[in-house]
Amino acid sequence: MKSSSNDSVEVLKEIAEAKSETLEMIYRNCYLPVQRLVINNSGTYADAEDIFQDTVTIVFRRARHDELQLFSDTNICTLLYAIARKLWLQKLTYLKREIAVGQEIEGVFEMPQAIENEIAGLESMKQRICQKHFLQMTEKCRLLMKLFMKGLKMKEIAEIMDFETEDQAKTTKYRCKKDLANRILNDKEYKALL
Amino acid sequence: MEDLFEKVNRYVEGKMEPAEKLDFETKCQHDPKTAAALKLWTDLDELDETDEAELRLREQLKDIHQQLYSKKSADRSRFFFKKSYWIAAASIAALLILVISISILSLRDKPTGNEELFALYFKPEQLMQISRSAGQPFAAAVRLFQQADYAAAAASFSQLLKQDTANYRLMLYSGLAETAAGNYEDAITAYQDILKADANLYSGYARWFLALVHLRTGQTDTAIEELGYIAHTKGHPFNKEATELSAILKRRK
Repeated sequence: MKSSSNDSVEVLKEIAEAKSETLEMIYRNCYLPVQRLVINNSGTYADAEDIFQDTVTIVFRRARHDELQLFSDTNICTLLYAIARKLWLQKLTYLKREIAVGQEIEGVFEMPQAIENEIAGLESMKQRICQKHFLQMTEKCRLLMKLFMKGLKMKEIAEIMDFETEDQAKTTKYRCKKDLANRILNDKEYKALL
Repeated sequence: MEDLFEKVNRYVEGKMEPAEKLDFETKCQHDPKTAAALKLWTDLDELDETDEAELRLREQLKDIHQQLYSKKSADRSRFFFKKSYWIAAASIAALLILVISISILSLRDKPTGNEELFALYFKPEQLMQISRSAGQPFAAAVRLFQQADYAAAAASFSQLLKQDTANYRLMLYSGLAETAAGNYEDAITAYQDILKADANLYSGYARWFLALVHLRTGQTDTAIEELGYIAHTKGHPFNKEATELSAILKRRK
């Protein structure tokens, strides 16, 4: 695992580019400690997967904002673990789940303020829940919503996705959006944030 | 009955009569759920390319996770759903029953106490290697271990740890040397120190060897717990061994 300053910056740049090999490498090297942390502290395997995704997404966002200097001195696995730990602790607090005494919920390293804000900000928390539910939608809905986010007009979306009419695309988008909104609004964690 | 979001959508698209609109706005002021639904509905329309990039990243991560951690089970289910494999499966099952029966009969005479099981599974030699970047004292300690002078190796690693207190590899080697030397309390401390620390590459090994020491010292229930954890951790380096050993211990119980 890369660990020098330059190497860390290089890995972070590749995360910002969502380079598949790098994402796979960090999954292989950094995921299991995070899984252990979650499992040992009232979580499930699914929780561990969600937390790791949230963690990488936070690093991805900061790296795309050219804030690589925030992490240049830190080994990537240590950084991911520290962020995951904060996220999980916060989630446990919101869900009022038990934190196993004497286990790994202890300080790791000084977290940059930008990351702290990213983790604890109410809107960021809601955004993470929204993204989690997005992944659970059908492939068709995900594609349609992504094209919409890219700023494509309904007419263009209809053409790309082989809808017969623009209205058909609009109706499908409405159904997909309603499905997503219902999933989010019924999420236990989201409810706790309201 | 109209869904909450259908109503929200009609409001956002300006398709409500004035009275209904006023009624809805009043409800938003007093009912947090309706207010949250309205905000969520409008927020979802404001998702842009940045969100799209993050969602794409999450899809990539989900795929990687499935590839790395669900591949084995997917392969297994594909195998069993293919009709043509049923005959092969039945033959394998019959063969397995025969092998297991023979094993049980032959095991009757073999020792399956904690000590024997520990001896069977405690194999630190493959791990205890000298890396190219290792310093002279470290290499010397490893050599002591390889020469089976475990007590001297343990003392050397312990000395090295005093100068490099956060070196997890050293902690693991120290634990292994203490285990081999029969100093189980010190070994437990070394493994637990690794597990208590932040994310590191040696925690998987530490948990496995900790389970073995618990087994060796007669704390069978604790060992079973540790082994259960390892057996349920996909991708753990000792996943197979832990499953096997845990099954033996449970059967013996």
